[in-house]
Order: sequence, then structure tokens, then C-alpha cells
Amino acid sequence: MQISTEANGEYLQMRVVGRLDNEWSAHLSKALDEAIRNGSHSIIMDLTEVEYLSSAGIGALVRAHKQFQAIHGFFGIGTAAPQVSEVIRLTGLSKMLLIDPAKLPKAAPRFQSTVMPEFRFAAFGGMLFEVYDIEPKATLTAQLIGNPDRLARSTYGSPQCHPYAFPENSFGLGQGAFGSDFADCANRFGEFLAVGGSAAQLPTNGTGKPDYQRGTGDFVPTVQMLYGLRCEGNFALQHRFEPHDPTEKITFSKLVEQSLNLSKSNLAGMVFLAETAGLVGASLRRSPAVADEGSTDKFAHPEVRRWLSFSPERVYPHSLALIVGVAARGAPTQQDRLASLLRPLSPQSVISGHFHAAVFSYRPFKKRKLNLEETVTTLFESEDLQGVLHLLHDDRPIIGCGESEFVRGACWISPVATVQQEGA
Amino acid sequence: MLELENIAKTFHAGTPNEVRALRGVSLKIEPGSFVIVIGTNGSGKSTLLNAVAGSFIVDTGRLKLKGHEITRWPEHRRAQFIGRVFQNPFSGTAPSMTIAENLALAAKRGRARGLGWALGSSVKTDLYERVRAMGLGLEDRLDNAIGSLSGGQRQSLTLLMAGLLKPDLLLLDEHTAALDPKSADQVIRLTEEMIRRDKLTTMMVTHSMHQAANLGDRLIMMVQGRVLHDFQGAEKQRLSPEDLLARFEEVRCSEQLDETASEMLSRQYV
Ligand SMILES: Nc1ncnc2c1ncn2[C@@H]1O[C@H](COP(=O)(O)OP(=O)(O)OP(=O)(O)O)[C@@H](O)[C@H]1O
Ligand SMILES: [Mg+2]
Repeated sequence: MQISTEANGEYLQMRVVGRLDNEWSAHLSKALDEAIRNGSHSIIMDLTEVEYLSSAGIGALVRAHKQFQAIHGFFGIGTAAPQVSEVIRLTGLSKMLLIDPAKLPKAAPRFQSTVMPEFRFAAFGGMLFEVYDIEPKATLTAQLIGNPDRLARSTYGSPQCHPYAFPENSFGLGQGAFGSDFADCANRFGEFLAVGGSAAQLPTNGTGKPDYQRGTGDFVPTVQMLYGLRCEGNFALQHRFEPHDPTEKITFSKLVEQSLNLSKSNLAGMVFLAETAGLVGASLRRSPAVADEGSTDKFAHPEVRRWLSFSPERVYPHSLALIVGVAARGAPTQQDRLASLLRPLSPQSVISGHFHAAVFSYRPFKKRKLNLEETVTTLFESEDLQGVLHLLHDDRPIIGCGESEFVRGACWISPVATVQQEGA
Repeated sequence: MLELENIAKTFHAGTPNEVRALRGVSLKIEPGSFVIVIGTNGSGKSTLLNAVAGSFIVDTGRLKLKGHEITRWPEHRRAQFIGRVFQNPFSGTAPSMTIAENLALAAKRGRARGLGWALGSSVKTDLYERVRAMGLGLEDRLDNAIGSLSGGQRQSLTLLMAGLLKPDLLLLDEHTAALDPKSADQVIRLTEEMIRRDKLTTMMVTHSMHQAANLGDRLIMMVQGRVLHDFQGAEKQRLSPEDLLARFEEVRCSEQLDETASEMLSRQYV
């Protein structure tokens, strides 16, 4: 089932597509509650695309009618599929629920409905979404920076290191460090992410403590980057997500896939702020800029133990993750400029991506539409950044611990329109 | 004071039970420094202390103590410089002998190297004073058999005996592990006082992250017979018990990183 809303003069038009049965009636009630809380006092339902209306669905409609009566609002069904009108007629509820189309304009009381943020409800893949438009036509320009393929077998040197600034309208991730130049950063290069005018990094000099830069006043976070991705532009939309069944967790690959669907594109930049059930990821332990004889392949066993920190179980449960990355539909091809950065999100998924997460201790954040910069700033101001890691899917049969899982959260998305390449 | 140069020790070499307990440890410990040694079970902490004390001769590498090349010295010869306290409160003492006799015995060992202990009444007075200073009320029980004391009391006395001679090097191996929390605190307090007062060069093995974070001016963490971390100075001072636990967690994770994980990471990690 999908629910979308549209402000139509003084009414809110709410359109339901799919089955309105026991499984989905609670979801409809929730959408209606949400509309009331958002200030809508007049709602006209469009049920022309409802395939089936069950008693539970009727119950939800009757409840809504009473609710709107209580606040002296207005609620009714404007248009409905024939089988739906028929059910309502048979149950003797026509008078209460069906609006005579001829009377429609006058039937609405002259309530000044307060500003109603445009949002849509959507449900698929076992998830419920509230979708908010931010700047529907917005797109991103992505830059691939440096050469990720060097990591396994070579050392990065000063020629591979360049500073990149991350003001509020940009985000990025990769291997980098905070510092004045290459030499200053040489033994600290590691995972970083930047978003909303702040940046977080995990130094590899053995302290194990993540570091961060928060943009304030004229100060803009700057990262000395070895390789990675930088995106610039505005977000097209935001969604809030939660599982349809509250006892279920949302897997990361599904979340990304549905977010990509919502963005209606095949390549998009995404930022998530999510309550974690557990993260699966790895991070560098040593700087790839420090020469190290005797290691030809950093990923070979047991060399990998010195280079990567990976926990074969989910980490950081009940935390708040700020996740930044890109996702693409379909296996990346040779011509794909971002291919070297993308990996399949799960063996079954047609989506590939690259995401870094910064972890904070859990705190609730407000419902509905969130401002990204404000939210990110509040997080970094709390000074409890716990870690930074590269998310991955431990797809080993039996012993693998799978992928990251989430309880609920928010996501900002924008399609990537242009991909540029800088200094290989 | 103490210099270890790439020392290694393998037990049961060439048999199915082969254990590479020390795999090349190098350390230079300055006089007066108080080194905490931590590490998982079997990581080689006790073996390291035993190698220094001379419980066995190392397979390879060299040891230097107070300027002497002691690599080939037997245990008893090194004992003139070294005081030891083990985990078990019943080792290092003769249970049927009295407290006074045990202490006198410890003192006498010192006399052999000319540290001026006569066994006359002045010694008794001195012992009395030292035992009283421990604040355990044992000074009135000097004539009781040492076997009649509680573990905590005994461990305190053993510590006193080990420190009596102001050894050049004090080796403590989980010497509070068998004690109840209150006794452990007491023995730790005594340990700290003694080390500070006599400026003893010390290596102390502990599993208590609290002790490890709060005591000492240097900390080494052993993993599989090697020194993985060596924190000194300000770096040591700012370590919290949580930081240390995080280090153990890292080790645990890295030990779980097997071939299948490395294959998975090489596919997935960018
Ligand atoms: N005398 C010995 N004979 C055979 N194996 C030994 C001997 N002493 C130690 N080992 C082995 O060497 C390894 C290191 O032991 P060691 O006692 O040094 O560990 P440890 O770090 O002190 O551990 P714990 O925290 O349990 O005291 C272990 O696998 C142990 O079984
Ligand atoms: Mg031991």
C-alpha cells in the first residue's frame, strides 16, 4: 500500500493505492494522525486505486471520521473505486463516509488549514516511509578523488595527497586526515566522512580515538585526502523510515535500495541518520602512507590483521549512526568513473555503494522533517563521537555476520548528475 | 637497569605441544621505572618475568641487568638483584616457620650480599617497626606460624620480604589476584608505597585494568609472546581502564580475523 498527500486548497487530499486491509489499516491511521499533528483539519480521501477494503480498513476510516469531528474538522471519501463504494454502501456507512461530489467545495468548512508540509507516505519492502520534498530538481556533482586501487599493494605519498574543503553544501568520504600537509598527516591517514559542515576521521596512529572538525563561523572543515569521493549540491528529498513490523530490523542494503527507488535515479548520494541495531564495518589500523617493507598485499592473511580492524560481529548497537555515501543500481562497469569505489551491498542486491559511518551514542531526535546541518552540528557539539568505519557486508557463509541493521531514521538523497575525476 | 634484546623462548620445541611463549621481546627499562605488564591469558607475561628471573635460560636473545650480561646466569645468581612475589600467597614462605623467622630468613639472604642485617635484637626491633608500618596489626603476632595467616596478610608479608632488601628489580606476577577486593587494595597500597619510597625498578603483571591504568609510569601489553603496545610518559598517564579494555577488544577481533575474513575484506573493503 502507498499513501500520498497533496495540499489542495483548503483540503489535504490523501490518496491510497493498494489494499486497505488489516495489515495496512494501522498504517493509514498513523498517516491520518500525522496529518492532524501537522495541522490539517480537512482531509478528503481518494480511494480510486484501492483494490480491496476490509472491515479493519473501514474501522480506520470511521475512527478518522470521529477524530476529525472531535476537532471540528472535516473528513470524508471524495472518490472511490466501485468495489470500495459498494462495501461502504452495504455496511450502511455511506452517509458518514462518502462525500457528495457536487457538494464538495461547500462541504469543506472554512477552516484556515495551517501550513502543511508536503509529505507522502510510502510503504514497500517491509518499510514505511514519510517522504518530504526538499528541492525536487536538485542534483549532485560527484568527484572521484585519487586512486583507491593503490591501497592493497602500494604506499600513498605526498603527490597523492590533496586538501579538500567540505562546506555545508557538500559531503564526502574516503581515506584522509586533518592536518596542514602530507607530512603532518602521514601517520594518521584513515577513514573519514564529511557532511553538513562537519567532518569525522579515525586516526591510525594507535590512539583509537576518532577526531572531528566542526564548521563554525568562517571555518570550513578541510581534509587532506588520499582518495575518496566528494559530492556537491543540494538534496532533492528527505525521508523518515521505520520497519512495517516494529519488531523487525531494517537491513542496510534494503534501506539503500528503497532510498534509491525514492530518488528515482540509478546513481545517488545519500546521508543517513539512523538508530542502529548494529553495524558491520572495518577501518584502517595503520596509515597507508607509512612505508612498510615486507607487506606486498595488505589484504593477505595474516598481513590483514596489522592493516585492518574488523569485528566479525555487529558493533555499536543502540547508537546513532551518521552515514554518508553513494549508491548505484546495477554492477558498476569499467567506464563507470566511480566503479573503483563501489562494491555490491549484498550478494543478492543489484545495488552497489560505498558508505562510511560516524557513530555517536544514542539520543532521540525530533520527528518529521529534519534540517541536516542543524542535526549534524548538534551531534558533533555533543562531543561524543565514538568511531568511524567503512560499512561492509560480511557475506561469508555461516560464519559471516551479515550487514548493518537499523531501527529507524532519516535519509537525505539527491541523484548524481555529473561525475568528475581528479588526480589519479 | 634491565635490557632485553630480542629474547625468545619455545616450550616443548619440536613436539606437538610446542608453545612459542616469547617470540622476540626487546625492552629497555630505566632505573626507578614502574612497568605494568598486561595481556590475555597465555600471552607470555609470566614467561617474560621468569626469563628475567632466570627460571630458565632463553633460547635466543640477550639479557642485561645492572650492567651485567646475565643471559646465562642461573636463577640463584640473579636472585641477589631480584625480589619476586607470585600470585599464590603460599609460595615464597615457609608455612611452619614464624613470621619473624621468615622475615629473618629473607633478611639473611640480604646479608650474604653484605646488606648489613645482624640477627640480634636490633633486627627484631627493625622488623617490628616495618611490620607495624604495614598497618595490619601483625606486629604483635611475629611469633605466630606464617601458615596461620590469611592470604592477604601473607601476601603483604611476602611483599615486605621481597622489598626488605631493596632489590634492584622487583617482579610482581598477579600478586593480588588471589585476594579478596579489600585485601587486594591493601596489598596494592603497600606495593605503591614501597616502590615509591625505595624507588624500586618494578615489573608488575596484573589483570586488573583499574590497577593497570592507575599504577606505574609505563605499560606494556603482551600478545602472543610479543609486546604489542608500549605506553610511556603522558601517553601512559592518560590511559583509562576503558581504553585498555578497548585494546583487548581490538586484539580479540584481530585474532578472529582468519583467511575467510581476509578474503571477504579483500573483496569488500575499499
Ligand atoms: N614451563 C612451561 N612449560 C610449558 N609451557 C609453558 C610453560 N610456561 C608457560 N608455558 C606456556 O607458555 C604460554 C605463555 O604462558 P604464560 O604463563 O607466560 O602466560 P601469561 O601471560 O602469564 O598468562 P596468564 O595470564 O594466564 O598468567 C602458555 O601457552 C603456557 O601454557
Ligand atoms: Mg601468568
